[in-house]
Amino acid sequence: MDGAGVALTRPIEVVSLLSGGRVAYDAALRLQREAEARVLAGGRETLFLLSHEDVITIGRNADRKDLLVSESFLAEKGIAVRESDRGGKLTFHGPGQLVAYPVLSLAPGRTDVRRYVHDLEETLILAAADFGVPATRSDLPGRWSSVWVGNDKLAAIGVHLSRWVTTHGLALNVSTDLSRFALIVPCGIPDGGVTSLERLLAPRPVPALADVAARLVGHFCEVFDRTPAP
Amino acid sequence: MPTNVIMPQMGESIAEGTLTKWLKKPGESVKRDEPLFEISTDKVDAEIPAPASGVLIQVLVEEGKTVPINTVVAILGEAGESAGAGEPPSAADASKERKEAEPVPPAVAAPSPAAPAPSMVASPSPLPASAPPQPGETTEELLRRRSSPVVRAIAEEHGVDISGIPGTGISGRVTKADILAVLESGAQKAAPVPVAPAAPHSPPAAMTVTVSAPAVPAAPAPPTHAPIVTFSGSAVVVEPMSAMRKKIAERMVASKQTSAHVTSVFEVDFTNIARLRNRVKERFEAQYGTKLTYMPFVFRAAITALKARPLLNASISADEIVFHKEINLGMAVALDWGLIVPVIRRADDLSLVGLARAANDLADRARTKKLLPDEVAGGTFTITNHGGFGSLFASPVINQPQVAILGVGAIEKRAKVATMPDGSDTIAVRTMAYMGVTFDHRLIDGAEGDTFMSIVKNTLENERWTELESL
Repeated sequence: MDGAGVALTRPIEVVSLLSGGRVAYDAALRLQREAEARVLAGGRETLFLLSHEDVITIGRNADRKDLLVSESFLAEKGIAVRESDRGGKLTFHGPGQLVAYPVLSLAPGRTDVRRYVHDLEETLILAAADFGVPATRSDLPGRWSSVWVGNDKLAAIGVHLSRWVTTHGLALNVSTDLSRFALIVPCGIPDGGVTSLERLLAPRPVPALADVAARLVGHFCEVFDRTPAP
Repeated sequence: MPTNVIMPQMGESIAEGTLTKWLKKPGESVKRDEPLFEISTDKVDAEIPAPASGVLIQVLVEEGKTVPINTVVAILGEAGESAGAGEPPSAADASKERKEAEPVPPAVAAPSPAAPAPSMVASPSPLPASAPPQPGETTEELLRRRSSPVVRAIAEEHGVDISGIPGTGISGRVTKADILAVLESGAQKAAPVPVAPAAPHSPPAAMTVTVSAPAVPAAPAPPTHAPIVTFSGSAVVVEPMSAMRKKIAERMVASKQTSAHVTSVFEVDFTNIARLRNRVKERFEAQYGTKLTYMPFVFRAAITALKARPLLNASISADEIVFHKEINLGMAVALDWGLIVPVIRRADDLSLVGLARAANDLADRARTKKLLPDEVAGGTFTITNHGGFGSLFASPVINQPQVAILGVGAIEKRAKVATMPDGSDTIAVRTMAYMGVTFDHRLIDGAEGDTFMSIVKNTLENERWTELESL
């Protein structure tokens, strides 16, 4: 097998902030920037797992018209609005949503943005399948990033790259308050709904965020050929 | 000296990118590797570093515009330098600068979205980093300019422009022989350059004694081997051969006497396919009513490779090469009473699901003797899954009048060495198989056979199998 055929089994530090309560968007951004600097300097990669306080983030390709209410209204409700240097459009983060931010170096061997997004989708599909949820990619044009169950989106993906080092990542709705998505046009797709593991599994109990995180990490390492660092 | 800043390639299947934001304004200076602009493709936003230190002289692509990869988006220069008449440097200027310019991201000819990734395998070596695509250059020109360091050194020594030489190498590359021919023809003032003889090595004299049998008999004589030992009496049981056995015997010997069999074996990583298959096989069977084995993937890889290398889908007729427009895949099926090769007709028209159905259906009907005569005729290429019995690699006999047969060895987990980012080595568990092509050397040379195999390997290792992903 030639070098290109072998995926590297790199160690990755898995940092779970789930037990410490919800993380403000700005704080998570700072953590990612620090981790990014470490990876750019040749240091160890990190996978952050966390859930955010209520926040609507506006990606690079977003149209502010997709924000359906005024920012002052959102402020009253305690929902922050942040512009983000990730790809993609608008999304909502909040309690009950599992957010994973891999800070990885895609070089060498994985320097393909579409493959990276594809691999994040694969990770999500495998993790959802562990809970009996058949998530898929969509063939519909304009919706082919992220994973879907029927016509509803189960997770959001948005990524930033700097010299092939990734930040931002994915957000999987476990028991997210889905009514929050009514405040925006998620990902700029007006005709698709959003869903969560909780809604899909009802009346069965929803798994704990930490359990979903454990599955997600396992599949992430499998898909990306990483080994959790001790 | 101005440096072109290009829209980088962000992945094999990505043909264009949207420039979302300039991080520097014209007139501002930027250091090499400092973020210069941002682009957006798919769900990904990426900062692109400056390829060299300098001043941003001119921005050629505005924010919000989507342009093909390798488009020049800006020009960097030294302070006080201007971009001339506001035009990007001409290809001729650019080629002179090539050595000074910082290496530009992957120098790969822009793949058109329709071009399947495996076609890139046709040029086996990566492009030299010193040949970045130049603005306004066609793919053909790029391919032609690409050449080995030896050729470039000769060209430089004699002041020859490689792009003006018709190349006979892969994808029109200019080979050493090409450039020497040009020099000798007097098109350029040529100093004689020593040429290593291209003749094949003569075998040592001692070897010629042992290899005294003629490699190619002038006319194949009918087999006249006398049995070495005759058994008789109670020590043996004598049984007449079945009609099928006689036919197989006749065909195998005829094939060996017709074709110059050569086998080349590659090792293929099936890990991605194994994972995908494990994930979807139950849903696949539930939805399509047929099992998902590894074979449809192998068929698809073979089809992709046959389309790229049609010589392996050909036949020999006297002094002529017959290229078959249809890809009719024979699949060897082992029976308790022999062997039969039913044919999937126009296999290139079938989806992965169609290939799975056809393969399972033909195998089932072969085992229950329900094949129709037409279904075992007209094959243009054959695949044999000898690995189903644990065989690692084999050298199967070509099914005449075809010129090649693909063998699949046992697909199993193996320990492979992987190199870590820090350069140390580690062991990884991968699902691997040996796959060999046996081809008729009368028509197909080793490089052709191996190019075919490299496409098979690349397809199996890197194809996306989108049909299965929505399962």
